[in-house]
Formats: sequence, structure tokens, C-alpha cells
Amino acid sequence: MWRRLFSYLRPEWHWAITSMILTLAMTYISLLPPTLMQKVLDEAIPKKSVDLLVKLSMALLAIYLLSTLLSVLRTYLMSWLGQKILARMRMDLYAHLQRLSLSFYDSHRTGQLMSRITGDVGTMESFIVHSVQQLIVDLLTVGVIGYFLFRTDVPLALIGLAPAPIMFLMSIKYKDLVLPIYRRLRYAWGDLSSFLSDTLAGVRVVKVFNQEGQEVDRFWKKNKRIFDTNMRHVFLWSAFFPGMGLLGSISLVAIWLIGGRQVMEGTLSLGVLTMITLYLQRFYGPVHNLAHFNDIVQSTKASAERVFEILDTVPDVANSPDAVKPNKVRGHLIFRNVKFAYQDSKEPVLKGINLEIRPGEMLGIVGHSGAGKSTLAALIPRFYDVTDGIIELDRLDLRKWDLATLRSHIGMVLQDPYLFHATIKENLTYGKPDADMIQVMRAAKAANAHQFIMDLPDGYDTYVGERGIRLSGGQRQRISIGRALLKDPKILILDEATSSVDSESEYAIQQALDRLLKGRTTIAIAHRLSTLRKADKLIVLESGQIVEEGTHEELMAANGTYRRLVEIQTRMSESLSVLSEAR
Amino acid sequence: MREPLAEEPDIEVRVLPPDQIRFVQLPDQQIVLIWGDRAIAIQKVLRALPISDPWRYLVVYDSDGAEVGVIKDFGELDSKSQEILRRELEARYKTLVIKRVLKVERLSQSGHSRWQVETNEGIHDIVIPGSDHIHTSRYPRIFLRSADSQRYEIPDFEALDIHSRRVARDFL
Repeated sequence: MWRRLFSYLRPEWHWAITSMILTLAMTYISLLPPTLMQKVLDEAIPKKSVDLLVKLSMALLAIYLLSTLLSVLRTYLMSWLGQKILARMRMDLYAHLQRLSLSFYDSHRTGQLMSRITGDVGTMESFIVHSVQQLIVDLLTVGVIGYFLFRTDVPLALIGLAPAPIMFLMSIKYKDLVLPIYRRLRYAWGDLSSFLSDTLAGVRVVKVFNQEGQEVDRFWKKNKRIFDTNMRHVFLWSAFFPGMGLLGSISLVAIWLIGGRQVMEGTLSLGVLTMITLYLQRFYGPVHNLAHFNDIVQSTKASAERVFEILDTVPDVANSPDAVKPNKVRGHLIFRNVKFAYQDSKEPVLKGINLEIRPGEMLGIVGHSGAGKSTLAALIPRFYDVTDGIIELDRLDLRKWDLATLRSHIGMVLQDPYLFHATIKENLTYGKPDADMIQVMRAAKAANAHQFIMDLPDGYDTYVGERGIRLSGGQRQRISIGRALLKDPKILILDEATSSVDSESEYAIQQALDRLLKGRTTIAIAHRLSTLRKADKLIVLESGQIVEEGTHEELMAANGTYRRLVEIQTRMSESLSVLSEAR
Repeated sequence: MREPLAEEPDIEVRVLPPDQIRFVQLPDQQIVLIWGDRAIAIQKVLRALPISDPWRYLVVYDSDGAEVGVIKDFGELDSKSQEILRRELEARYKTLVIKRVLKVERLSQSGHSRWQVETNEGIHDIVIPGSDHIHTSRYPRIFLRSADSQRYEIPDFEALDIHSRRVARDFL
């Protein structure tokens, strides 16, 4: 894991080394002042040499100036390096997320994923760039001070550094205690992010069900979990680090007692005692940092595990090594004994579907909720791969198609069209970013959207809001049809495209859809059976199996499920007409 | 096979050829489009992209509100037509430039805010009905539209004085 983490530094290795050299130089220079102090106390002052005092003072000033200059260069370089690594990590993660199959998203919550891209990657960047360099500075500082101390006075050095091994053992114990806390904390944050993205996006549902209080309670529970976990960390942290500080201070007290006595006896100079004291004070800061570094390591480990878990996930649906990119697509679809079950589910959703849709034909799919209609449609763009059997497009197994090529020929219009928080023009050109404005307007006209767009004060520059919230359901749907028209796919999937709009919008949408499906192979799913009457073929799905197949007239004549569904809907629509007339 | 549509309205986008059209303005201010031997009374000219590309893709409507066609590039028209259309467009899309923001206060939880601003046409008190009327996507250039549909523009937010930036920042 660590090697992988540091691989992000590899492309910038020369800058990392430069930064390291600056760090080493800065650390060494910053350790020189106590030596100068010893010379001031033991040489310049006793000899009353103003000349030497000025020279030493100038040397001290030069050290501070050089140290500041190195610090500026190092801070800039490290920050630049950090931002670059952070950007690349986020890119890798996001690019991989885009490659992952839908089944991955079925089992992961959006907020959790967002928390990994933002929080966890930030922790890793901070570790690679800042903490590791700080570790080197601290190790170097400890080494150099240790060397100076032992070179100056071995017994005093042994007394002063005696607590260091105890601190080392304490920090090992601390690591074992703190890692599980960090792991728990990362997941708790992910859970909270997920909860927030869910409830803030669904705030209308929360309000209409009057559940604000319950949501606050749920938030409190998640918030409390973070608080409690943080407090466990704080408890450990607040006991551990002051404990370490106390050990260091005890050694300093011992140095005062023993060294002070030696100065009184004339066996040690005041300058040397002062230098040892100053070095010891500088020694336990880095030791403290080294123990804290352990804390950061554990935090980073918890984050890296979560990030690499995503990067290591292999997409279920991927290009086969011999994938082909046919130049031309006719749109001839054949399902041969297709079976499908979702991951972690033993119950198959589709149980042996055999079906042929010829180029330019429209297939209507009818059935109760949960019959497998949307699943069947989702297999065509390979959102999922079949569990058994084959789906062919133009006589070629879908799994042999280059995935991007296959999807470039498929358009989808869903019940709840997803628009991005961008302008209308940007949403329309989503599948064809290079479309010129005349093409965009042509598609919008065909989708019966152009006029309402032009009526908006900002026209095609209008921001639609998150998920298109600033537009009505019918307007959103017409934009999504325009988006599909502009992409100009050979195969079109309509999944309940008109079921959540009012009658007036439905007419405009139906008219737009009729334009959209001209010359395309269309798979249309609808509860409102009147919208499927134009279909060349209809199938009725029940529990993942085709139970009826034929034209509208043939199925009506067959007197089966389809006819029963049509009659129920006709009666319902008559009742609604009577009710509305009575009003 | 599928039935043809019962009613098929015009869905073609007609690009008006700049070398074959010109605009004239009658004494009663009516704008007329002369296209070959046709004279079409114009009700309005709208920008398809009023923010990102205000001088291209201008949609022309006749006196019945029906779309006549699209001018792809304003710059390709003759100078007299440009003058007439410029006046029409600048009146319709009049945008006041905000030089200073004097005061901003939140009016309600719905996100309405009242702004007192100094513009190129003096001091204005305006109500902005929510964050969707403040466009920051081209920051530091900011567009605002007030409740009475007046357009405002801050050409460079960072170039405003400290007071303006301090009072406005929380509302962007």
C-alpha cells in the first residue's frame, strides 16, 4: 500500500528530491544557533571580545536569513507538489469511478464515494507531501542533536535522552489503539456525507411527509457517532501526548540538577550547559512529532484503504480483448435465451428471453412492476452483462462490441430525466459536445422544446438547476428528448418516458418522441398502454418471462393479460372522464 | 408499421441569409424584415444565447409571434440593419453595470435578497428572487436579474471596492 501511495511522487521525483535537499539544508542550519550561543557564553563574554560578539551575532543573523529563504522556497515547492499530487489522485479516482459498472453503484452510496474523493484523498496528499518531509526533518533533527549531545558530554547526553526509548514503545502501543478509531471515523464521515446528499436532494419528500424532526434525529445519531468516535481519539491523544511531554521535561530537570552542579564545581562551562539545555528543548519537539507521525500514518492508512478499495474494483462490464468497432450499425437486436440475475441475488430477474427486433422496428414492453422490463432494456447498453444466453446486435454478441462504440449508438429517455446543473445548451449537447447551435436548435424544435426555451429570459443560456429542478417535468423530458435527438442514436430505449407528465405535456412529448423514433430501433416501456399502440410488436413480461407476443390487434384477440390490462386502463380513463365532467 | 403524425408543425430552423435580408424601421418604429420580395413585420428579435454569445443566433419573430428564422451572425448584416437591431436588442436586453454594492440584506428564507447598488444609471434598489437569478458561472463576471426582470452585470467582482465585495460575497 505504501509503495503504491508513493508512486504518485514518481513523476515529480526531481522536484521531490529538490524539496528534500532544501529540507535537509534548512534543518541543519536551524540547529546551529545553540553552538553559537555556547561560543558567546564561553568565549566572547569571558574575553570581553566585542569583535567576536559582533561576528557571532552576524553569523546568527545570516543563519536566520538563509533559513527563511530556504523555508520560503521549500514551502512553495512542497505546496505545488502537494496540489499536483492531490489533483492527480482525484483524477485517477474519478476516472476509475466513471469506468465502473452500474452494479458497483448499486452497492455503494453516492455520499460515501464523494467523501472518498474529497476527504480521503486530502488526507493521503497531506501525508505524502507534508508528513513525510516533516518525518525526515524530525529524524534528522533528532540524529544531529543526539550527535552534538554525545560529542559534547556523554553522561549528560545519556541522562537527557533516557526517556526516548520509553516514548518509542508508547507510540507503538498508541498506534494499535488509534487505527481502528480512524477507520471507524472515516466510515462515519462517509455515512454522514451520504445521508446529507440523500436528504438534501430529497428535501421536498421530507417536507411533504412532515419528517423534518425525524431527519434531525437521524442526523443527530450520525453526528453523535462522529462525536463519540472523535472523543475516543481525543481521550487517547490528550493522555498520550502530554505524557510524552512530561517524560521529556523530567529529563530536562535532571540535566539542570546534575549539569548545574557540574558548573558550580567548575567541571562544565555555563555555555556548554546552556547549549545542552537548548538542544534538549529542541530534541523533544521532534520526538513528540515522531509519535504524532504515527497518528498521521494510521489516519492515512485508513484513508488509503478506502481509496484503493475503489481503484482495485474491476468493472464487471468491460471491453473484451478482441472487441470490435463496426463502422455501421443497422440496429438489429436478437435475444437468445437470455437470463439475468443481479449480483448477490439468487432469484433471476429474466428467465430465458427469446426476442428479435428488426432494424427500425418498435418493440413495446408491457408488464407489472418488477416483471423485468427495465432490466431487459438495461442489458442492451450493457449496463449489466447477461448471466446466461446471448444478446446480439447486427449478429454480433454485445460482449464483442467495443463498449464506447456500442453506447454511442444507443439513446435513452427515462421516466425521470436527469439533467445536469448546467445551461440548457450544455444539457442538450451532452452527447454531442461539438454540435453547432443550429443543430442544437433543430433538435430542440423537434423535441418541442425550442419555444419554451426561447421564452426563458436567458434562452439556451438558462441554468436548469440541480437535476433540472428549475424546469417542469414536461420541460425536462423535452430537453432529454432533444439531447437524444442530437446524439442521433440508431437504437432508442424509452423507459416510461411519458408516465410522469401532465396530459398537455404528454401530447407535446409524444409528438417529439414520434419524431425521435423515426428510422430507429426502439424499445419502449410504458404503463400507459395507449402510448404503445404504434409499436410493431408488443411483449408482455411476467416474472421475467415473455407470456404474450404480437401486435396490439393480435394480443387483443388473444384475450390474455394484455387485453385485461388494456380494459382496466380504459375503464379507469372513462371513470376519470366522468369524474372530471361531474366537477 | 407506425402511423404518420396527424399534425406535423414546422420544425426546421431557417437560417436567414445575411446577403439577402435587411431590416428597416418605419416612422411608427415598426421593424420590417425585407427578404427578397417579401416584407415581414417583426414583433421581436430574441437572443438564443444572451449571455454566452449575445451577437450570434438571433431568432426573429413576425407580428403573429411565429418564428421567421435565425440570424447566425449579427456582424454579417449590413450596417443599417445592424443599427436597427442593435437598438432593439439593447432595449430588450438592457444590462446595467454595477459599479458598487452599497448594501445587501436577506429578505426571507426563500433566498430573496434586497440589493442597493450604484450602477451606470445611478443608485438602484433591487430585489433578487433567489440564487438562481445570480449567475456566477463566469466568475469574476457576474450576472444578476432582479424580480422585475432588469439585468445587471458586475464585469469583475474582484475589481470592486472592499466594501462592495464584503457585503455581496455571502450572497453569491
